[in-house]
Amino acid sequence: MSKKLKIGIISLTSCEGCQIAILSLGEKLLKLKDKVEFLEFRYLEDQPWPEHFDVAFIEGSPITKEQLKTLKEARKRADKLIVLGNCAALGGVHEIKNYKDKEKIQRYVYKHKKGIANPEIKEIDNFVKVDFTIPGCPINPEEFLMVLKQLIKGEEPKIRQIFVCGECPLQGTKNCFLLQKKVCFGPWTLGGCGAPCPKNGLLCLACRGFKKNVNLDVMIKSLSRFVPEKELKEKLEIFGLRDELFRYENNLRTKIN
Amino acid sequence: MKIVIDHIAKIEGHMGFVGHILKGNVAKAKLEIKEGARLIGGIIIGRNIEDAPLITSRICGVCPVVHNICSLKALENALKIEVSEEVKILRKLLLAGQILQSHSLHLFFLSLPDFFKLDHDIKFVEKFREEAKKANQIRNFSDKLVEAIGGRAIHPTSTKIGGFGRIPNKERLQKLLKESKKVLKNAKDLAKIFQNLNYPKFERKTEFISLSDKKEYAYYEGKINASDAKPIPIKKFLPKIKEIQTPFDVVKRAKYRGRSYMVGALARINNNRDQLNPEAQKLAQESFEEKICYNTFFNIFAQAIEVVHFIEEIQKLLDCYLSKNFKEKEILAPNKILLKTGYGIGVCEAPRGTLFHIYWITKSGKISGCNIITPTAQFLDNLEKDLRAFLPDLKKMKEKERKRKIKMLIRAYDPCISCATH
Repeated sequence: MSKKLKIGIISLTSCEGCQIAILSLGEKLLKLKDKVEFLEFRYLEDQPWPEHFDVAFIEGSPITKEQLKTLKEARKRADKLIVLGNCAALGGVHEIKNYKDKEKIQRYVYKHKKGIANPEIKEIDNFVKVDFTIPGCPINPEEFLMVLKQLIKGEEPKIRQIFVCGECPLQGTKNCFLLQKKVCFGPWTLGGCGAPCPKNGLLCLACRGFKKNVNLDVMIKSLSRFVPEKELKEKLEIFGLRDELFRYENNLRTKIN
Repeated sequence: MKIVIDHIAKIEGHMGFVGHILKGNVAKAKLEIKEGARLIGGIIIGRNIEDAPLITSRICGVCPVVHNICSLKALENALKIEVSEEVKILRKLLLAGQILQSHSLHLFFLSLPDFFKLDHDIKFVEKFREEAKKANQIRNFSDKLVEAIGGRAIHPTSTKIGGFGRIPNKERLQKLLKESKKVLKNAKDLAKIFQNLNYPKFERKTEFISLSDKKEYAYYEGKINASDAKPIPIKKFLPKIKEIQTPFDVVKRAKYRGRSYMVGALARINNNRDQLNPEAQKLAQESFEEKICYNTFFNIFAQAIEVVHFIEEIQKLLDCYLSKNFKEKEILAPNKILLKTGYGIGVCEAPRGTLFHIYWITKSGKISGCNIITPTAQFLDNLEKDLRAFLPDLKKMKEKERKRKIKMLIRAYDPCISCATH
């Protein structure tokens, strides 16, 4: 029998929905038990960490100091580090506080702030090198399974590079938001999710991140015909994309200058 | 004697335990929360009201649907919006599906392996191949149900203020109703395993709080039921709850009239046992001798009974929904919502117990105040008290066994630290 792929699924602070998405694979996941060894996955085991992972998957944000240590330790022990989901890849909903007075928000929630970490929320690639991203809030479990199978075969992980807007009509969506002159980020967002939001009457909020090399300037110009730019940016805060837009605008400015 | 468990696996979120036994007395029994604070209750202030159900669903990946619906209910309460019967049925189906999703995960993959002293589920699954298959079928069924109505198995996309963004596909629901017969049989088989488990002997009197309703085994609406009074309306109950936060603790722990209390499956069954559906009722009657069960390890079995109950419930609801000739506009959310200043409370039974979302909203449709009281934040103190009472029984055990028993009690509560902290 060939060597099993040694993996770890490591969770920092998040809703843990990406881990639950993995568990939802049920029998499909169990079928791989001769090929993959889950050395760390707290929902499945209660054992100490191994010395080495072939692949470490990271879910969530390092909010406490201890979690930052965990993240760095995972990087040290892993050949490959893959981030799972919106929090790890783009900051998650809790990144909203970065755009406001985070001290004030903390005071609103807690009477005693002593001992409660309140850092600026940053994506995982600000702390350690990231080899690959499985996007989404939550991740698409089938996409995770596909990547896992690629890794078992020793291939470099790869996901489809399509737009949400490309998938959406194939899902039988009848009421396109844009045709109704309403906001939807689908035309600029990386697909692969099956467009579960616009299909069900919720605008795409780009939880999977913008597709590479899209023109965000055009996005803002087109969508601000429907709602004010300020409101667009506020919507992009939900899944940690406002800073991506900011970075894009900065790059654009540097190029022009 | 000092007992330190750095990190408790197989619970949602991050938590440890420290206990001290000095000269035979328990000097310390403390749960240490190791979750980062995401400040969800603070970040939604100033945002549009329709963001609240989306953002608060991200409090928890195990029970996102119930946060989402509770949030919608609170907003509707503030805006004085009444939803149609059809919307209620669909939401109840979502909640029932959510309870199945969460309970089946906790029962078979987080708690059961404890009783067989297995520290990895893959070993467990190899030993109990058939049972694992059945458990996965229940999980799969509940995922499909939540997806068919909510748009996605985790973090729903079709739920809106006043209704739904899309009518669920009838054929899909019919197929699920057909499948439910087999799923119910599986659930009954598995409940037998939980009925016959060797639960540690342990008892401590405490308060059980849940929703109660004259019409049914309450989970979508009702009054609050505590043992010391008749069920009271939510508005009268909330002032009796006090959230207490101490320095270094990221969880605001709730007390009822200054005392710790228990919520969740065992509390619901203790309070509303007579209203369980027939098959679940049978299981409960066979197993519980006393009216109230004070052994919190039995929260595990109570969940197994609820799995049976909620599959029966799903059958009833699907039957009712599919036999109706509803109008689309009864289900679809209104395009325009009349905004007004207001205060609203949403309450539901989440898998782990009663969940409260409370919002203040402005005339321009912004959230101006928010408080979310999760089940785990309510029962954490009760769990700590149980651990304190349980520790003396463990004095003579070997360290490994002692730690195993402590973790078993913690897992019996099915705590969700992501929710508790949020």
